[in-house]
Amino acid sequence: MTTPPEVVDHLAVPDDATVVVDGVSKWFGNKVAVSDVTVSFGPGVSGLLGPNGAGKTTLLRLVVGLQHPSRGAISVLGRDVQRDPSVQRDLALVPEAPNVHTHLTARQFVRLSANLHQLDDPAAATEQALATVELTADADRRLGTFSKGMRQRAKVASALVVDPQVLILDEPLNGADPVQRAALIALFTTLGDAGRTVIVSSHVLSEVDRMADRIVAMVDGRLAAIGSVRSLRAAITDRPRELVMEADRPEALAAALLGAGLARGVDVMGTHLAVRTDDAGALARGLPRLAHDHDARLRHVEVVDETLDAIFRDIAGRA
Amino acid sequence: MGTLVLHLLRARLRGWRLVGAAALVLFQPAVAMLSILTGPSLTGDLAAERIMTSVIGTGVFLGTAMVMMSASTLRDERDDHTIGYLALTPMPRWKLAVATAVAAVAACITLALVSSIGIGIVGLLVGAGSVGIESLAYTVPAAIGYGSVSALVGYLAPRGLLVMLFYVFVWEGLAGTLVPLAGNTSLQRISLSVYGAVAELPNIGMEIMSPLVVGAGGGMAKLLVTALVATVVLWQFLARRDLV
Repeated sequence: MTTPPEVVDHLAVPDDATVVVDGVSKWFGNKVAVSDVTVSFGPGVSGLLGPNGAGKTTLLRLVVGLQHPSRGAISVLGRDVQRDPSVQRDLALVPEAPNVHTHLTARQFVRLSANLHQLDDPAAATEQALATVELTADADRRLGTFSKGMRQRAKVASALVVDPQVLILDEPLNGADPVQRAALIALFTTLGDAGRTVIVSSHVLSEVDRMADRIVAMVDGRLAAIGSVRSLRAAITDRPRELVMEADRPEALAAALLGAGLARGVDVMGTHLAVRTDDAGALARGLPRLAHDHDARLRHVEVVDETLDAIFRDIAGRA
Repeated sequence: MGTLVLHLLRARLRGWRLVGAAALVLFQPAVAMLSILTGPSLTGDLAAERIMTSVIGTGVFLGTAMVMMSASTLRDERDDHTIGYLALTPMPRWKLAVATAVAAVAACITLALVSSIGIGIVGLLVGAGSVGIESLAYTVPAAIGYGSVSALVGYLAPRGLLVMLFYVFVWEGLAGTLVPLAGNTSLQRISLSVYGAVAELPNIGMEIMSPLVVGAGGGMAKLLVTALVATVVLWQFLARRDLV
């Protein structure tokens, strides 16, 4: 029996779900990529967060119908993606792989998608999609000459050309420069605000933080947490942490940290302190004042074991 | 579906793959030309027979070129992770299978035309211009067979091209001359049986074609059924198995 994910607030289950994943597992031989995942997504931007290898890409491929679930069922807009190809009129995927048809121009690439989806006016839809991602000026260049970020935008245009109700983006900001990232994030947010279901996968919390109302976190193929960005941040902040600091008068600072209840334990090694805390947020807020009051100038502060992978494993372990 | 066929065909007919495959099929008329130049002076039907003897004797080049051209029709899209752009559309998967087979066969027919144009030019030089057109009765059926089977095998097997080259060189070539079963399932021999019903088959053709006999209707029926079965199998794999 699987452990249910940590549901951290009211955003966990959308009332108007457009994508429903029900008890889905996917394995490749002996390797389990997705394990008994039940989750739904509704209008707005949802972030699918997790470290590399967490099963995000497999889950998204299952949702769009590129792969078949080994167990469980998936519906998009009330239709079975495996049995009803008409659902693809309202569904689009921007895959993680940077590969595109390099011999095509951006315009041909987007037009191909428009034609394959049998749009009423594929030419107009193509131009609109290219304009949306600001690729009109480069539309007649071959994709093989594009930078990774430009290819990413071409892939987004190819998805947007069908005007999908459900847009799924697998690591869409990879390779994009800061300006392009900002533009893409604004675009996804606008689509979400317009009532589209936008699912964005990422292994970077700060990226998702900027666009998603709701986060689904995965670790090792399982759901680790579902909720708002704020509640997930709180869950991350509340976890036990270990920090390494370098300071003048380390013994005085160690005593102050323990005395103020900000640390559960402190080891002093020369000018370095290894600090264990159950409330990293409180420590972050109180540390500067304590250091100042005890004349212990801080030279360096570093959080140990702070990878997203470690954080999610910790959340999953607690669930 | 036309968009999909054009896309897949366009991807076939470009770059070094096209140049290499065209060079292979033009090797046949080149050998025929050498045969004409170095042998006793012939014209008319005798020259046509000499040309087709060379063409049929180097049939392995036609098979190799067609396999090279068609085995990666959908495989490339799968390996490059671009198959999603083609498959995630409102089109049912059987249309994707049919489009793949049509594109693969069309690419091979392009090679058949290149080959037959080369053969025709050599024929014109010796007063046997019709040999080029007649050779289409051999190269086009071969295109239907090799194209449809290679597209399927190429999609199913990561080393599908090697599997098909094994088929051309070992199964059709070596085993085909020794084992009746291999001969009966040889696409080259079936294509020759069609050609033999349309034009005079040289002696070498009769020898290679054995154990099959001349017959345009039967040969074409075999090739069309083969293409149909290959397409249905491809459809089932596209519908039931993961695309990436």
